[in-house]
Amino acid sequence: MTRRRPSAWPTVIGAVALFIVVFQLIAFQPSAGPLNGHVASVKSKPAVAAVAPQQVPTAVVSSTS
Amino acid sequence: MNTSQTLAQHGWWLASRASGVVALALVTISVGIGLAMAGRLARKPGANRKLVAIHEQTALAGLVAIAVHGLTLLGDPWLNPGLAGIVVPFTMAYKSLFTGLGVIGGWLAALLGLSFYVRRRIGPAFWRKAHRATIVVYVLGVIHTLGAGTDASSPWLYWPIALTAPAIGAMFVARVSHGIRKGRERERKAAERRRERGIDARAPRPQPVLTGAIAEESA
Repeated sequence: MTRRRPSAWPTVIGAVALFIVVFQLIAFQPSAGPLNGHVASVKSKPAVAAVAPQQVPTAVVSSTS
Repeated sequence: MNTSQTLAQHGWWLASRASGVVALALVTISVGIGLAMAGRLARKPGANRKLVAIHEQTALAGLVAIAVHGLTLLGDPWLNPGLAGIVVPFTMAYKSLFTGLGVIGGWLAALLGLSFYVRRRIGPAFWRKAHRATIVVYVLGVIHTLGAGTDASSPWLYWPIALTAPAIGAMFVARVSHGIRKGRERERKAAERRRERGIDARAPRPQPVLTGAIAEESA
């Protein structure tokens, strides 16, 4: 009599269920949240930083002379 | 930002994070079962056979989850790691040390996990020795998760790691000390056998007692 090998389905179903639960947790729970500071931190170091053009100080001409 | 926008913009990234968590969970279970079996913790008859099957299944599912974790990251427009970033250690711009350790852990998991299927070709003794290094995959996975994981500080991820890591560590220490004890015992027994053989070799051979006609012939 050959012994039956335990089925792999419980492991597969468990892994997929855990994936769905974690996905839901990070996507829809505000405490975890999809951004969670990560995208913001990646976005905050762009390749080209938007730099405001420097203002050239204009000479104040006195009209008293 | 509503739900559909979130999924559309961050779907790949969410999938990568979720599969990373699944990969760590599966590797933890697989390594834990492996250490439990090595430490002879399962004494119920037939339990070991079931544990071997679950150990193998969780290891394979873990490998799939690691692959999904890396491949889904390719679709993330923010991180944008590129193929080199997910396969070559320390080339990703984002937290390169911790992501690099994760890449090494992934390759090591594939190498050690799949070596099971060629163990006869590479030699069972060598395979068994190499398989002991699987704990490194778990350690690298935990360091990668805590160092580079977005959810590392979230209690739902942090606490399971914090609770299982000491258990895995304790089982590993028990396994190593058991191995050392067993090795010493084996050496002691081998030395005893050598000593016994040595005494036998030095002892005079017992002379056969000849009786009757044969004794008369030899005389």
